[in-house]
Amino acid sequence: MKLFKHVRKIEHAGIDGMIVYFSGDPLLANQRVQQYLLAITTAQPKWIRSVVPAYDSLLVCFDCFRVDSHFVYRYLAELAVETTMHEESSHHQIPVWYSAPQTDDFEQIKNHTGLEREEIIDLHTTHTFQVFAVGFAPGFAYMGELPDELICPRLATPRKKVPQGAVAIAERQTAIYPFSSPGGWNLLGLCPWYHNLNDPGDLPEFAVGDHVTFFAITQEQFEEIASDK
Amino acid sequence: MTNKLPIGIVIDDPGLCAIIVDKGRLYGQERGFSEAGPMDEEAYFWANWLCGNEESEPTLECIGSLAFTVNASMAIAVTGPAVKVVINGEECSSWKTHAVVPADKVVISADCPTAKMYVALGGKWLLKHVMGSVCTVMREGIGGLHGNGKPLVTGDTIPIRVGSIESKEVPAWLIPAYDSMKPIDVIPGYQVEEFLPLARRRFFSADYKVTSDINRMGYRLQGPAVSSKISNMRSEGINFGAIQFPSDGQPIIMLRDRQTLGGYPKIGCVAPYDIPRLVQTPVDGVVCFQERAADDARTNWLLARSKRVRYLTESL
Repeated sequence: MKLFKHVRKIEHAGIDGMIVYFSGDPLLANQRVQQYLLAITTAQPKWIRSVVPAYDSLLVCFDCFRVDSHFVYRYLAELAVETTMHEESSHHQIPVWYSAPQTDDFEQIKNHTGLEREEIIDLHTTHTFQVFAVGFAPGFAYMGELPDELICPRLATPRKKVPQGAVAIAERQTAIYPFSSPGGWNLLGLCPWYHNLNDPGDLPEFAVGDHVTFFAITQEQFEEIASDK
Repeated sequence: MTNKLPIGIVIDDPGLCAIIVDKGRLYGQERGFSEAGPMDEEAYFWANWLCGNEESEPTLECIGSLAFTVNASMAIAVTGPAVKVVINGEECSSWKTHAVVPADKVVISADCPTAKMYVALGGKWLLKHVMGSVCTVMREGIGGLHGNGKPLVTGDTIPIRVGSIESKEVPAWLIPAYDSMKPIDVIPGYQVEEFLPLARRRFFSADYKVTSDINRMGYRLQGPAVSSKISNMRSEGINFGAIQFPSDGQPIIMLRDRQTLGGYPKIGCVAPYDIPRLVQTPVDGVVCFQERAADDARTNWLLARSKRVRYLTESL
Protein backbone atom coordinates (compact mmCIF):
# COMPACT_ATOMS: atom_id res chain seq x y z
CA MET A 1 0.00 0.00 0.00
CA LYS A 2 1.22 3.49 -0.84
CA LEU A 3 2.38 5.44 2.16
CA PHE A 4 1.21 8.83 3.23
CA LYS A 5 2.51 11.49 5.58
CA HIS A 6 3.79 10.33 9.01
CA VAL A 7 3.24 6.70 8.08
CA ARG A 8 5.99 4.16 7.52
CA LYS A 9 3.80 1.15 6.95
CA ILE A 10 0.12 0.28 6.66
CA GLU A 11 -1.14 -3.28 6.64
CA HIS A 12 -4.31 -5.30 6.69
CA ALA A 13 -5.40 -6.64 10.06
CA GLY A 14 -8.17 -8.98 8.98
CA ILE A 15 -11.17 -8.11 6.82
CA ASP A 16 -12.25 -5.39 9.21
CA GLY A 17 -8.97 -3.93 10.38
CA MET A 18 -6.05 -1.80 9.20
CA ILE A 19 -2.93 -1.23 11.24
CA VAL A 20 -0.98 1.97 10.70
CA TYR A 21 2.67 2.22 11.78
CA PHE A 22 4.01 5.74 12.25
CA SER A 23 7.47 7.02 11.43
CA GLY A 24 9.89 8.86 13.67
CA ASP A 25 11.58 8.19 16.98
CA PRO A 26 9.49 6.55 19.72
CA LEU A 27 8.24 9.84 21.18
CA LEU A 28 7.32 11.32 17.83
CA ALA A 29 5.73 8.11 16.53
CA ASN A 30 3.73 7.83 19.73
CA GLN A 31 2.62 11.45 19.33
CA ARG A 32 1.40 10.63 15.83
CA VAL A 33 -0.54 7.69 17.27
CA GLN A 34 -2.27 10.09 19.65
CA GLN A 35 -2.90 12.68 16.96
CA TYR A 36 -4.58 10.16 14.69
CA LEU A 37 -6.46 8.62 17.61
CA LEU A 38 -7.73 12.05 18.62
CA ALA A 39 -8.69 12.95 15.06
CA ILE A 40 -10.62 9.69 14.62
CA THR A 41 -12.36 9.74 17.99
CA THR A 42 -13.31 13.39 17.48
CA ALA A 43 -14.74 12.77 14.02
CA GLN A 44 -16.36 9.50 15.20
CA PRO A 45 -17.29 8.17 11.78
CA LYS A 46 -20.18 5.70 11.96
CA TRP A 47 -18.15 2.87 10.46
CA ILE A 48 -15.49 2.83 13.21
CA ARG A 49 -15.78 -0.18 15.54
CA SER A 50 -12.71 0.26 17.71
CA VAL A 51 -9.32 1.95 17.70
CA VAL A 52 -6.44 0.37 19.61
CA PRO A 53 -3.41 2.63 20.08
CA ALA A 54 -0.01 1.17 20.93
CA TYR A 55 3.60 2.41 20.94
CA ASP A 56 3.97 3.38 17.32
CA SER A 57 0.88 1.86 15.75
CA LEU A 58 -2.84 2.32 15.61
CA LEU A 59 -5.20 -0.57 14.90
CA VAL A 60 -8.36 0.74 13.25
CA CYS A 61 -11.26 -1.72 13.18
CA PHE A 62 -14.23 -0.93 11.01
CA ASP A 63 -17.69 -2.21 10.21
CA CYS A 64 -17.06 -4.03 6.95
CA PHE A 65 -20.74 -3.97 6.18
CA ARG A 66 -20.46 -0.21 5.65
CA VAL A 67 -16.95 0.27 4.27
CA ASP A 68 -13.94 -1.64 2.94
CA SER A 69 -10.20 -1.33 3.52
CA HIS A 70 -9.76 0.95 0.48
CA PHE A 71 -12.21 3.41 1.97
CA VAL A 72 -10.48 3.27 5.36
CA TYR A 73 -7.08 3.71 3.72
CA ARG A 74 -8.29 6.81 1.87
CA TYR A 75 -9.91 8.15 5.03
CA LEU A 76 -6.68 7.78 6.99
CA ALA A 77 -4.56 9.27 4.21
CA GLU A 78 -6.84 12.31 3.97
CA LEU A 79 -7.43 12.68 7.67
CA ALA A 80 -6.58 16.16 8.90
CA VAL A 81 -4.55 15.75 12.08
CA GLU A 82 -3.46 18.46 14.47
CA THR A 83 0.30 18.20 14.42
CA THR A 84 0.61 20.60 17.29
CA MET A 85 -0.70 18.68 20.23
CA HIS A 86 -2.73 20.91 22.49
CA GLU A 87 -2.35 19.50 25.94
CA GLU A 88 -5.67 17.93 26.71
CA SER A 89 -3.96 14.99 28.30
CA SER A 90 -4.11 14.55 32.05
CA HIS A 91 -1.18 14.67 34.37
CA HIS A 92 -1.26 12.00 37.08
CA GLN A 93 0.68 12.43 40.32
CA ILE A 94 1.12 8.96 41.69
CA PRO A 95 1.99 8.28 45.33
CA VAL A 96 4.40 5.39 45.86
CA TRP A 97 5.53 3.77 49.07
CA TYR A 98 9.03 2.96 47.82
CA SER A 99 10.73 -0.12 49.22
CA ALA A 100 7.58 -1.61 50.70
CA PRO A 101 8.80 -5.03 51.91
CA GLN A 102 6.90 -7.03 49.27
CA THR A 103 8.23 -4.86 46.43
CA ASP A 104 11.90 -4.37 47.13
CA ASP A 105 14.08 -5.17 44.12
CA PHE A 106 16.52 -2.34 44.80
CA GLU A 107 19.43 -4.72 45.34
CA GLN A 108 19.13 -6.30 41.92
CA ILE A 109 18.52 -2.93 40.27
CA LYS A 110 21.74 -1.79 41.91
CA ASN A 111 23.51 -4.80 40.46
CA HIS A 112 22.53 -3.69 36.96
CA THR A 113 22.74 0.07 37.29
CA GLY A 114 25.16 0.64 40.14
CA LEU A 115 22.65 3.05 41.66
CA GLU A 116 21.85 3.31 45.36
CA ARG A 117 18.29 3.14 46.63
CA GLU A 118 18.02 6.93 47.06
CA GLU A 119 19.41 7.56 43.59
CA ILE A 120 16.91 5.16 42.05
CA ILE A 121 13.98 6.75 43.85
CA ASP A 122 15.29 10.16 42.95
CA LEU A 123 15.46 9.30 39.23
CA HIS A 124 12.03 7.67 39.31
CA THR A 125 10.39 10.67 41.00
CA THR A 126 12.09 13.56 39.21
CA HIS A 127 11.24 12.49 35.65
CA THR A 128 7.88 13.06 34.04
CA PHE A 129 6.86 10.01 32.06
CA GLN A 130 4.37 9.58 29.30
CA VAL A 131 1.81 6.82 28.81
CA PHE A 132 2.82 5.13 25.55
CA ALA A 133 0.22 2.39 25.53
CA VAL A 134 -2.51 0.90 27.67
CA GLY A 135 -3.18 -2.76 27.26
CA PHE A 136 -2.25 -6.35 27.81
CA ALA A 137 -4.64 -6.19 30.79
CA PRO A 138 -7.21 -3.57 31.81
CA GLY A 139 -5.55 -0.50 33.24
CA PHE A 140 -1.98 -1.66 32.57
CA ALA A 141 -0.23 1.47 31.30
CA TYR A 142 3.17 1.29 29.67
CA MET A 143 4.97 4.49 30.72
CA GLY A 144 8.33 5.77 29.60
CA GLU A 145 10.93 6.49 28.82
CA LEU A 146 13.19 5.90 31.76
CA PRO A 147 16.46 7.83 31.90
CA ASP A 148 19.43 5.84 30.57
CA GLU A 149 20.95 5.37 34.04
CA LEU A 150 17.87 3.51 35.27
CA ILE A 151 17.54 0.99 32.47
CA CYS A 152 17.66 -2.58 33.69
CA PRO A 153 16.45 -5.83 32.14
CA ARG A 154 13.44 -7.92 33.08
CA LEU A 155 13.96 -10.65 35.66
CA ALA A 156 15.55 -13.81 34.30
CA THR A 157 12.71 -15.77 35.87
CA PRO A 158 9.42 -13.92 36.15
CA ARG A 159 7.69 -13.87 39.53
CA LYS A 160 4.61 -16.02 39.84
CA LYS A 161 2.87 -13.27 41.75
CA VAL A 162 3.45 -9.54 41.68
CA PRO A 163 1.39 -7.74 44.34
CA GLN A 164 -1.50 -5.54 43.28
CA GLY A 165 -0.45 -1.91 42.86
CA ALA A 166 3.25 -2.75 42.51
CA VAL A 167 5.22 0.00 40.77
CA ALA A 168 7.84 -1.55 38.53
CA ILE A 169 10.50 -0.87 35.93
CA ALA A 170 11.89 -2.88 33.02
CA GLU A 171 14.02 -1.76 30.09
CA ARG A 172 12.94 1.82 29.34
CA GLN A 173 9.51 1.40 30.83
CA THR A 174 7.74 1.81 34.12
CA ALA A 175 4.24 0.62 35.05
CA ILE A 176 1.85 -0.20 37.86
CA TYR A 177 0.39 -3.70 38.10
CA PRO A 178 -3.37 -2.99 38.41
CA PHE A 179 -4.04 -6.46 39.76
CA SER A 180 -1.93 -9.15 41.27
CA SER A 181 -0.48 -11.16 38.40
CA PRO A 182 2.66 -12.96 37.26
CA GLY A 183 5.29 -10.55 36.05
CA GLY A 184 8.92 -10.08 35.20
CA TRP A 185 9.54 -6.45 36.02
CA ASN A 186 11.72 -5.06 38.83
CA LEU A 187 9.63 -3.79 41.72
CA LEU A 188 10.17 -0.42 43.38
CA GLY A 189 7.16 0.11 45.62
CA LEU A 190 3.42 0.10 46.10
CA CYS A 191 0.77 2.58 44.98
CA PRO A 192 -2.08 2.91 47.55
CA TRP A 193 -4.72 3.65 44.89
CA TYR A 194 -4.86 -0.04 44.04
CA HIS A 195 -5.07 -1.35 47.58
CA ASN A 196 -7.92 -3.93 47.77
CA LEU A 197 -9.34 -2.77 44.47
CA ASN A 198 -11.60 -5.45 43.03
CA ASP A 199 -13.73 -3.82 40.37
CA PRO A 200 -11.84 -3.04 37.15
CA GLY A 201 -14.37 -0.23 36.67
CA ASP A 202 -12.75 1.58 39.60
CA LEU A 203 -9.25 1.50 38.11
CA PRO A 204 -7.47 4.81 37.76
CA GLU A 205 -7.81 5.77 34.11
CA PHE A 206 -4.65 6.21 32.13
CA ALA A 207 -4.90 7.27 28.52
CA VAL A 208 -2.16 7.19 25.93
CA GLY A 209 -0.46 10.57 25.97
CA ASP A 210 -1.16 11.25 29.63
CA HIS A 211 1.75 12.44 31.71
CA VAL A 212 2.79 10.78 34.92
CA THR A 213 5.03 11.70 37.83
CA PHE A 214 5.64 9.56 40.88
CA PHE A 215 6.21 10.90 44.38
CA ALA A 216 7.42 9.14 47.50
CA ILE A 217 5.18 8.55 50.52
CA THR A 218 5.78 6.83 53.83
CA GLN A 219 4.13 3.65 55.07
CA GLU A 220 1.83 5.77 57.29
CA GLN A 221 0.76 7.89 54.34
CA PHE A 222 0.23 4.74 52.31
CA GLU A 223 -2.10 3.33 54.93
CA GLU A 224 -3.93 6.63 55.23
CA ILE A 225 -4.56 6.91 51.46
CA ALA A 226 -5.41 3.21 51.17
CA SER A 227 -8.04 3.39 53.91
CA ASP A 228 -9.40 6.70 52.61
CA LYS A 229 -10.55 5.28 49.29
CA MET B 1 -30.80 -8.33 44.74
CA THR B 2 -31.42 -11.10 42.25
CA ASN B 3 -34.07 -12.81 44.36
CA LYS B 4 -36.50 -9.95 43.64
CA LEU B 5 -36.08 -10.41 39.91
CA PRO B 6 -38.14 -12.85 37.83
CA ILE B 7 -36.13 -16.06 37.49
CA GLY B 8 -35.89 -17.75 34.10
CA ILE B 9 -33.85 -20.84 34.89
CA VAL B 10 -31.93 -22.45 37.74
CA ILE B 11 -28.62 -24.11 36.91
CA ASP B 12 -28.56 -27.73 38.14
CA ASP B 13 -25.18 -28.66 36.70
CA PRO B 14 -22.93 -26.25 34.78
CA GLY B 15 -20.95 -29.05 33.10
CA LEU B 16 -17.30 -28.34 32.26
CA CYS B 17 -17.82 -24.60 31.95
CA ALA B 18 -20.87 -22.44 31.36
CA ILE B 19 -20.55 -18.68 31.00
CA ILE B 20 -22.76 -15.81 29.95
CA VAL B 21 -21.81 -14.15 26.67
CA ASP B 22 -23.20 -11.41 24.49
CA LYS B 23 -21.86 -9.54 21.48
CA GLY B 24 -18.91 -8.31 23.51
CA ARG B 25 -17.33 -4.96 24.36
CA LEU B 26 -17.16 -2.45 21.58
CA TYR B 27 -15.27 0.05 23.66
CA GLY B 28 -12.62 -0.30 26.33
CA GLN B 29 -10.04 -1.97 24.09
CA GLU B 30 -8.03 1.26 24.12
CA ARG B 31 -7.93 0.82 27.91
CA GLY B 32 -6.90 -2.82 27.84
CA PHE B 33 -10.28 -4.55 28.16
CA SER B 34 -10.79 -7.63 26.00
CA GLU B 35 -13.32 -7.47 23.21
CA ALA B 36 -14.96 -10.68 24.46
CA GLY B 37 -18.11 -11.96 22.67
CA PRO B 38 -19.27 -15.39 21.51
CA MET B 39 -16.63 -17.80 20.18
CA ASP B 40 -19.09 -19.16 17.58
CA GLU B 41 -20.92 -16.07 16.38
CA GLU B 42 -23.22 -18.05 14.05
CA ALA B 43 -24.52 -20.39 16.74
CA TYR B 44 -24.94 -17.42 19.09
CA PHE B 45 -26.86 -15.39 16.53
CA TRP B 46 -29.28 -18.16 15.61
CA ALA B 47 -29.96 -19.16 19.21
CA ASN B 48 -31.19 -15.63 19.91
CA TRP B 49 -33.15 -15.48 16.67
CA LEU B 50 -34.95 -18.72 17.55
CA CYS B 51 -36.07 -17.12 20.81
CA GLY B 52 -37.23 -13.90 19.19
CA ASN B 53 -34.52 -11.96 21.02
CA GLU B 54 -32.52 -8.90 20.10
CA GLU B 55 -29.33 -9.78 18.24
CA SER B 56 -27.21 -8.62 21.20
CA GLU B 57 -29.11 -10.44 23.97
CA PRO B 58 -26.95 -12.68 26.17
CA THR B 59 -26.86 -16.47 25.81
CA LEU B 60 -25.06 -19.18 27.70
CA GLU B 61 -21.91 -20.51 26.10
CA CYS B 62 -21.16 -23.92 27.54
CA ILE B 63 -18.81 -26.83 27.12
CA GLY B 64 -19.44 -30.48 27.93
CA SER B 65 -22.98 -30.50 29.20
CA LEU B 66 -25.49 -28.32 30.99
CA ALA B 67 -28.53 -29.14 33.09
CA PHE B 68 -31.05 -26.60 34.27
CA THR B 69 -34.59 -26.33 35.60
CA VAL B 70 -37.02 -23.95 33.97
CA ASN B 71 -38.78 -21.43 36.19
CA ALA B 72 -40.96 -19.53 33.69
CA SER B 73 -42.99 -20.19 30.57
CA MET B 74 -40.76 -19.14 27.74
CA ALA B 75 -38.91 -20.05 24.56
CA ILE B 76 -35.51 -21.73 24.68
CA ALA B 77 -33.16 -22.76 21.90
CA VAL B 78 -29.87 -24.60 21.77
CA THR B 79 -27.33 -24.38 18.96
CA GLY B 80 -23.84 -25.70 18.26
CA PRO B 81 -22.31 -28.67 16.44
CA ALA B 82 -24.03 -32.04 17.07
CA VAL B 83 -25.76 -30.95 20.25
CA LYS B 84 -28.20 -33.21 22.04
CA VAL B 85 -31.13 -31.55 23.81
CA VAL B 86 -33.22 -33.52 26.30
CA ILE B 87 -36.31 -31.93 27.85
CA ASN B 88 -37.98 -33.95 30.63
CA GLY B 89 -36.22 -37.07 29.41
CA GLU B 90 -37.33 -36.62 25.83
CA GLU B 91 -34.84 -35.90 23.09
CA CYS B 92 -35.52 -32.73 21.10
CA SER B 93 -33.85 -31.00 18.18
CA SER B 94 -31.19 -28.34 18.43
CA TRP B 95 -31.38 -25.29 16.11
CA LYS B 96 -35.13 -25.15 16.87
CA THR B 97 -37.39 -23.19 19.24
CA HIS B 98 -38.85 -25.08 22.22
CA ALA B 99 -41.61 -23.79 24.47
CA VAL B 100 -40.89 -24.74 28.06
CA VAL B 101 -42.86 -24.32 31.28
CA PRO B 102 -41.86 -24.10 34.97
CA ALA B 103 -40.31 -27.28 36.44
CA ASP B 104 -39.22 -28.56 33.03
CA LYS B 105 -35.80 -30.21 33.24
CA VAL B 106 -33.44 -29.49 30.37
CA VAL B 107 -30.18 -31.32 29.75
CA ILE B 108 -27.90 -30.54 26.85
CA SER B 109 -24.70 -32.21 25.81
CA ALA B 110 -22.41 -32.44 22.81
CA ASP B 111 -20.61 -35.34 21.16
CA CYS B 112 -17.40 -33.38 21.26
CA PRO B 113 -16.16 -32.43 24.74
CA THR B 114 -14.83 -29.06 23.56
CA ALA B 115 -17.82 -28.07 21.42
CA LYS B 116 -19.30 -24.70 22.31
CA MET B 117 -23.05 -24.89 22.82
CA TYR B 118 -25.29 -21.85 23.00
CA VAL B 119 -28.47 -21.65 25.04
CA ALA B 120 -30.81 -18.74 24.41
CA LEU B 121 -33.77 -17.90 26.62
CA GLY B 122 -36.66 -15.91 25.13
CA GLY B 123 -36.72 -12.55 26.88
CA LYS B 124 -34.67 -9.75 28.30
CA TRP B 125 -31.82 -10.80 30.61
CA LEU B 126 -31.73 -8.64 33.71
CA LEU B 127 -28.00 -8.33 34.28
CA LYS B 128 -25.58 -5.57 35.11
CA HIS B 129 -23.45 -4.41 32.20
CA VAL B 130 -19.73 -3.80 32.63
CA MET B 131 -18.22 -1.61 29.92
CA GLY B 132 -21.37 -1.98 27.82
CA SER B 133 -21.56 -5.77 27.98
CA VAL B 134 -22.44 -8.64 30.30
CA CYS B 135 -19.91 -10.93 28.65
CA THR B 136 -17.88 -12.99 31.13
CA VAL B 137 -14.11 -12.53 30.95
CA MET B 138 -12.62 -14.86 33.54
CA ARG B 139 -9.07 -13.55 33.16
CA GLU B 140 -10.19 -9.98 33.85
CA GLY B 141 -12.71 -10.88 36.53
CA ILE B 142 -15.51 -8.94 34.89
CA GLY B 143 -18.96 -9.63 33.46
CA GLY B 144 -21.22 -12.62 33.97
CA LEU B 145 -24.04 -13.21 36.44
CA HIS B 146 -22.39 -11.45 39.37
CA GLY B 147 -20.18 -9.12 37.38
CA ASN B 148 -17.03 -10.81 38.67
CA GLY B 149 -16.10 -12.91 35.64
CA LYS B 150 -16.96 -16.21 37.31
CA PRO B 151 -18.54 -19.04 35.32
CA LEU B 152 -21.96 -20.31 36.40
CA VAL B 153 -22.24 -22.72 39.32
CA THR B 154 -24.97 -25.07 40.50
CA GLY B 155 -27.83 -23.12 42.00
CA ASP B 156 -27.22 -19.93 40.00
CA THR B 157 -30.42 -18.36 38.74
CA ILE B 158 -30.72 -16.35 35.55
CA PRO B 159 -33.06 -13.39 35.97
CA ILE B 160 -35.08 -12.74 32.86
CA ARG B 161 -38.20 -10.87 31.78
CA VAL B 162 -39.75 -13.38 29.40
CA GLY B 163 -40.89 -12.49 25.89
CA SER B 164 -43.36 -14.07 23.51
CA ILE B 165 -42.83 -17.51 21.98
CA GLU B 166 -42.75 -18.13 18.27
CA SER B 167 -41.78 -21.53 16.93
CA LYS B 168 -38.91 -21.36 14.45
CA GLU B 169 -36.28 -23.59 12.99
CA VAL B 170 -32.97 -22.75 11.35
CA PRO B 171 -32.88 -24.33 7.88
CA ALA B 172 -30.00 -26.78 7.39
CA TRP B 173 -28.40 -24.62 4.68
CA LEU B 174 -27.92 -21.78 7.18
CA ILE B 175 -26.29 -23.94 9.85
CA PRO B 176 -22.48 -23.65 9.62
CA ALA B 177 -20.79 -26.61 7.91
CA TYR B 178 -18.75 -27.53 10.98
CA ASP B 179 -17.40 -30.72 9.43
CA SER B 180 -16.16 -29.06 6.27
CA MET B 181 -12.53 -29.84 5.48
CA LYS B 182 -12.15 -26.74 3.31
CA PRO B 183 -9.05 -24.68 4.09
CA ILE B 184 -9.64 -21.79 6.46
CA ASP B 185 -9.35 -18.36 4.83
CA VAL B 186 -6.61 -16.09 6.13
CA ILE B 187 -6.20 -12.45 5.14
CA PRO B 188 -2.44 -11.82 4.97
CA GLY B 189 -1.40 -8.75 6.92
CA TYR B 190 0.50 -7.38 9.89
CA GLN B 191 4.11 -8.72 9.58
CA VAL B 192 3.38 -11.09 6.68
CA GLU B 193 6.21 -9.57 4.62
CA GLU B 194 8.67 -10.44 7.40
CA PHE B 195 8.06 -14.17 7.01
CA LEU B 196 10.39 -15.89 4.58
CA PRO B 197 8.62 -17.03 1.41
CA LEU B 198 9.33 -20.64 2.31
CA ALA B 199 7.88 -20.27 5.82
CA ARG B 200 4.83 -18.56 4.39
CA ARG B 201 4.33 -21.29 1.82
CA ARG B 202 4.75 -23.91 4.51
CA PHE B 203 2.08 -22.37 6.70
CA PHE B 204 -0.41 -22.18 3.83
CA SER B 205 0.15 -25.75 2.66
CA ALA B 206 0.64 -27.83 5.82
CA ASP B 207 -1.91 -29.37 8.15
CA TYR B 208 -2.13 -28.08 11.69
CA LYS B 209 -3.55 -29.93 14.63
CA VAL B 210 -5.71 -28.27 17.29
CA THR B 211 -3.93 -28.85 20.62
CA SER B 212 -5.58 -29.16 24.01
CA ASP B 213 -4.20 -25.71 24.81
CA ILE B 214 -7.31 -23.89 23.64
CA ASN B 215 -9.47 -21.36 25.38
CA ARG B 216 -11.41 -18.17 24.80
CA MET B 217 -8.17 -16.22 24.64
CA GLY B 218 -6.55 -18.23 21.91
CA TYR B 219 -6.11 -21.56 20.17
CA ARG B 220 -2.68 -23.12 20.01
CA LEU B 221 -2.08 -25.26 16.94
CA GLN B 222 0.68 -27.73 16.25
CA GLY B 223 2.41 -28.40 12.97
CA PRO B 224 5.43 -27.45 10.91
CA ALA B 225 7.21 -24.55 12.62
CA VAL B 226 6.99 -21.19 10.89
CA SER B 227 9.34 -18.38 11.78
CA SER B 228 9.78 -14.78 10.78
CA LYS B 229 12.81 -12.55 10.46
CA ILE B 230 11.68 -10.49 13.45
CA SER B 231 13.57 -10.88 16.71
CA ASN B 232 11.81 -8.21 18.70
CA MET B 233 8.98 -5.84 17.94
CA ARG B 234 6.85 -3.35 19.78
CA SER B 235 3.53 -4.49 21.16
CA GLU B 236 0.62 -3.57 18.91
CA GLY B 237 -3.17 -3.98 18.67
CA ILE B 238 -4.35 -7.54 18.00
CA ASN B 239 -7.52 -8.03 15.93
CA PHE B 240 -9.88 -11.00 16.22
CA GLY B 241 -8.50 -14.10 14.54
CA ALA B 242 -4.90 -12.85 14.31
CA ILE B 243 -2.38 -15.67 13.86
CA GLN B 244 0.78 -15.06 15.86
CA PHE B 245 3.98 -17.03 16.04
CA PRO B 246 6.06 -17.09 19.24
CA SER B 247 9.67 -18.11 18.80
CA ASP B 248 8.79 -21.82 18.78
CA GLY B 249 7.08 -21.25 15.42
CA GLN B 250 3.77 -22.82 16.48
CA PRO B 251 0.74 -20.69 15.58
CA ILE B 252 -1.64 -19.24 18.14
CA ILE B 253 -4.93 -17.90 16.86
CA MET B 254 -6.09 -14.99 18.97
CA LEU B 255 -9.77 -15.13 19.84
CA ARG B 256 -12.44 -13.38 21.90
CA ASP B 257 -10.71 -12.88 25.25
CA ARG B 258 -7.33 -12.08 23.70
CA GLN B 259 -5.24 -9.40 25.33
CA THR B 260 -5.51 -6.09 23.48
CA LEU B 261 -1.79 -5.69 22.77
CA GLY B 262 0.89 -8.19 21.95
CA GLY B 263 4.34 -8.33 20.49
CA TYR B 264 4.61 -11.58 18.54
CA PRO B 265 4.85 -11.47 14.75
CA LYS B 266 1.55 -12.15 12.96
CA ILE B 267 1.05 -13.52 9.48
CA GLY B 268 -2.54 -12.32 9.12
CA CYS B 269 -6.04 -12.94 10.44
CA VAL B 270 -8.55 -15.75 10.00
CA ALA B 271 -11.61 -14.51 8.10
CA PRO B 272 -14.46 -14.12 10.60
CA TYR B 273 -16.77 -16.38 8.58
CA ASP B 274 -14.38 -19.30 9.14
CA ILE B 275 -13.96 -18.73 12.89
CA PRO B 276 -17.06 -20.73 13.97
CA ARG B 277 -15.72 -23.80 12.16
CA LEU B 278 -12.23 -23.26 13.57
CA VAL B 279 -13.31 -22.87 17.20
CA GLN B 280 -15.60 -25.90 16.93
CA THR B 281 -12.81 -28.14 15.66
CA PRO B 282 -12.18 -30.81 18.29
CA VAL B 283 -8.83 -31.32 19.99
CA ASP B 284 -6.49 -33.23 17.63
CA GLY B 285 -8.72 -32.17 14.74
CA VAL B 286 -6.80 -30.99 11.69
CA VAL B 287 -7.15 -27.64 9.96
CA CYS B 288 -5.35 -26.02 7.07
CA PHE B 289 -5.19 -22.48 5.81
CA GLN B 290 -5.26 -20.61 2.52
CA GLU B 291 -4.47 -17.02 1.68
CA ARG B 292 -7.43 -14.89 0.74
CA ALA B 293 -7.11 -11.27 -0.32
CA ALA B 294 -8.95 -8.82 1.92
CA ASP B 295 -11.37 -7.79 -0.85
CA ASP B 296 -12.28 -11.39 -1.68
CA ALA B 297 -12.73 -12.23 1.98
CA ARG B 298 -14.99 -9.24 2.46
CA THR B 299 -17.04 -10.31 -0.56
CA ASN B 300 -17.42 -13.80 0.91
CA TRP B 301 -18.45 -12.30 4.22
CA LEU B 302 -20.99 -9.98 2.58
CA LEU B 303 -22.45 -12.87 0.57
CA ALA B 304 -22.88 -14.96 3.72
CA ARG B 305 -24.46 -12.00 5.49
CA SER B 306 -26.86 -11.24 2.66
CA LYS B 307 -27.87 -14.91 2.54
CA ARG B 308 -28.77 -14.63 6.20
CA VAL B 309 -30.52 -11.26 5.81
CA ARG B 310 -32.51 -12.45 2.80
CA TYR B 311 -33.77 -15.46 4.73
CA LEU B 312 -34.67 -13.33 7.74
CA THR B 313 -36.64 -10.78 5.70
CA GLU B 314 -38.38 -13.47 3.66
CA SER B 315 -39.37 -15.43 6.75
CA LEU B 316 -41.05 -12.39 8.29
